[in-house]
Amino acid sequence: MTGNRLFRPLLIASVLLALALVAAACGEDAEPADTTQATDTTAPPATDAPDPDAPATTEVPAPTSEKIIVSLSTDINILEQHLFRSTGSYAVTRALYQPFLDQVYVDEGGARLGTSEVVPSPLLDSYEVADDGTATFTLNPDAKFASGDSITAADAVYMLRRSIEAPGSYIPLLLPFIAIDSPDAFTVVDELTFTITPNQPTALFGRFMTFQVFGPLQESLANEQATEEDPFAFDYFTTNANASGPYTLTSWDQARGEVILDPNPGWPGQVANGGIIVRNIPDAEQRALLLQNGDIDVAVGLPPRLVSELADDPNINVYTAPSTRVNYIGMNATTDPNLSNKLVRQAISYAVPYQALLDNVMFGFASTAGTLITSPMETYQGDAAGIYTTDLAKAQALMDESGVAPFEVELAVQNARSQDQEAAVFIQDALREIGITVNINVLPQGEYSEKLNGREFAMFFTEWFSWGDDPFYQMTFLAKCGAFTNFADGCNERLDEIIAEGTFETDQQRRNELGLEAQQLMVEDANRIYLWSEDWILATGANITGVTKDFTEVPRFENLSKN
Amino acid sequence: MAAPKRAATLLSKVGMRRYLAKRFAISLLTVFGIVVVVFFIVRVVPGDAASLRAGPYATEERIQYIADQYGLNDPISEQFVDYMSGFVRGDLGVSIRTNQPVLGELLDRLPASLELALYSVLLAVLIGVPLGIVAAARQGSWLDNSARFFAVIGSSMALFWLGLLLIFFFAFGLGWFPGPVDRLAVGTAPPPTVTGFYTIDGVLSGQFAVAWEAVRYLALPVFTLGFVLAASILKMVRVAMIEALDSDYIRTAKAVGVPRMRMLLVDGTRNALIPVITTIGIVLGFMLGGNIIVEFLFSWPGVGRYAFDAISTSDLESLQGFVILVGILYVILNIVIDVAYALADPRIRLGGSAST
Repeated sequence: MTGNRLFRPLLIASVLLALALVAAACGEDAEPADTTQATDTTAPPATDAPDPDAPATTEVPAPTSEKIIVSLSTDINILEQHLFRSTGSYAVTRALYQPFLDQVYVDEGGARLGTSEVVPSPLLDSYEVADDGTATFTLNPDAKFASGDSITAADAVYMLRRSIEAPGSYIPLLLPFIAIDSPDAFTVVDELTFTITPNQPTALFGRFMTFQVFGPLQESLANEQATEEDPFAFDYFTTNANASGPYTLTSWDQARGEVILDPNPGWPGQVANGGIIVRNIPDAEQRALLLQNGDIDVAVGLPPRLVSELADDPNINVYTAPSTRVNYIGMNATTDPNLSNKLVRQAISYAVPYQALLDNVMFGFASTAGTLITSPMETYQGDAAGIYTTDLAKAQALMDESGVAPFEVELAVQNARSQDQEAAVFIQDALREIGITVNINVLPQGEYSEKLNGREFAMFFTEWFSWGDDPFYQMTFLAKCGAFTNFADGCNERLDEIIAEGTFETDQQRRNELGLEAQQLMVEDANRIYLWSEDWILATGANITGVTKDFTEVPRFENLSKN
Repeated sequence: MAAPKRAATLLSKVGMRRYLAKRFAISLLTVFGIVVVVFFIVRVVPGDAASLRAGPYATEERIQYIADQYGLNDPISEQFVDYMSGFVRGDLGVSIRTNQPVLGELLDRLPASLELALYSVLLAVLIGVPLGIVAAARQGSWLDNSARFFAVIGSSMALFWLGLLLIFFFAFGLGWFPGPVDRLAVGTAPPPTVTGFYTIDGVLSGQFAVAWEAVRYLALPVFTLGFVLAASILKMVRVAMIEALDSDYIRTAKAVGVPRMRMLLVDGTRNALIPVITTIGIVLGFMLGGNIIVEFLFSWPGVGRYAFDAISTSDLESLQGFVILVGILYVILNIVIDVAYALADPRIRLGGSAST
């Protein structure tokens, strides 16, 4: 009897708890608030491409009013376009800031892939380049900021000058490649016309003008928000935007990592959806499962292993395309004297199981790197350059010829990069065959970065991706003598000359010749093990169309449509 | 009779005030100590936030510019003085990752962590305390054995593993609960902030659907944490109750015919309360600071995930702010526990010198 009295309240509490859990499990989600409100997406069509010879562009899907949910692997930390920021932030700022030029896209495998041809973006009526390299831009009079104010030539020039003059801006690092070193290069001609006058014509000018960092910024708003300490209003634009791009910033919940973007009525292009909800979901497995469950529409940044599993799911579309990304292991000769022997570096390069890495680590979602000029890149000529393939006999012969006794070396890997860790094990096994003992050292990102910059690693993994798909631009950062990001510290004066010439060379034939010579030198020097070139990958629900890839690989939202 | 009672009440009030004042003074010193220790420890952690912030294209000059901008190149003594002078004004610095004040970012995320922690502890108490009492009352029975088995499973289960299992089966397999995306469905606007707890704010603002949705999104992370925490509470309640039930006064109570129910739930439980309060306090403190794994797993936008991001990007100011915030919460929690002790056992506030 007493026992019953004792257990009754406990039993009731347990039953109530169980009922609460079951009820929570059976309930429906609340209707998303204010996310599907009808928005005018019937803005004027995109400006016609003036170049009649340009490759055909894919039709933008018919507009729908549904919002599309995009999940990213990183948070959104900063919206200021002239500050370096997370990849999630770049995705959002690309939607907010429209550059003056756009790539020409071709349809391939159901996705729109950017080419190196450029055309005026919807912000422009026309774009001309004179023989001396001076570019004249005439704005579309219908182009407006999200506030409804017209975009003027003064706004464009203000943004361009700000990109050079503002103390925190990282854009001055990019401008030398288009031969601009002064704010005087930018001139307002009239209300809708402005010019950019580089010091000389360059091959990269058009491509650079497609970068989102050159999207117009409203001068009057910036001046209004500027302070004595912050004359370019970086603080304001870190969390706010008056968009010139296809979307306007409706809300940004920084704690939840959620950004809601609605179509910008002032943008004179066509948006194919009713808006975008961008959400940071840090764990890749969760992103994949949420996509399979239909909770999200687009998953960015899925690793190859997961993509290979999703590829068989009929409810998922996986889009892949070759990328100019390069993954390599740097070999720093100054850190480890054994690596100062070129024959040792060449032996290591021959011992690496490249195909096994492509098959078992990248699951086929990568292509041959060869050198810093990777196989999907302009001027790639891997066979002619004699890029490395696995040949253990040759590797052993080179080791013998080098006269270097078996040695131990440390291979540094970042703890967040599981692919590199897997590859490290393959490489450890392979190098053991030629008498090199590899000790794998897994480090957190911050410490890794500190030691990489401090040139403390003998062998280390690095991934590099440079916007613009240009080999000489890429080599400037990674191979030029003394470049801060040339972490392998290899130096070849002839390669420097090639990079200097190729950066400004506009003749394609000459660029090909320079590219081939550069690849031969990189093979000969063997300062790096060129592992693979990871594909661009995007996974969406089967009902999503309009996937677009440009050469910055920053997701483009305006053409996505949900059927 | 009335005068001695008033005197006892007065003594009790004076004792309580003195006790609280003493605890408060000690707490201030503790917070100061935390700030000093954290400041120096965080600076020993390897990492290069400036280079991560500068991005891959950065030159060495650019990295140094950013380091200067955030005071990372200043002498450590100067950094300490700056930090302390900011701290007393409620300024925990600026995040190098987001360019935003750390305090604001932490306070934006704290309600999410508190909501998760409090509901988890509540669930753990609702499971752990009754099961502990039952197990103690029925020592050696199948109920006791089952409760002990549950305690072993709960104590040895890794949080991330349990979380993954729950997500896999109940969110993606059976579809009973929403996927681990946040506190609310993607795109759902949160209710107007009153407490910062979506479950409560939804009700207060009349947005019952949002409140219900918040409950559904809380369910799996709360169950993950609650299940593991319930095990520790159960073990502690069981041991404390067995001790209490074995005491002289319970034997006397039995002898004079006090009903078993009253003996267990009033006399036994009250005397077993001190260690149980301690355990709940420790567990809650752990919840506030140690939720990093669960918050990461469920994409929960709390301070734990903020700390994870700070660690991975060597964002010292944010990391430091997080550790200090958690330290302060621990101190506050300790004061609350001490007061709860004093209320449960008046001998504590009077330093054991008096008894009622």
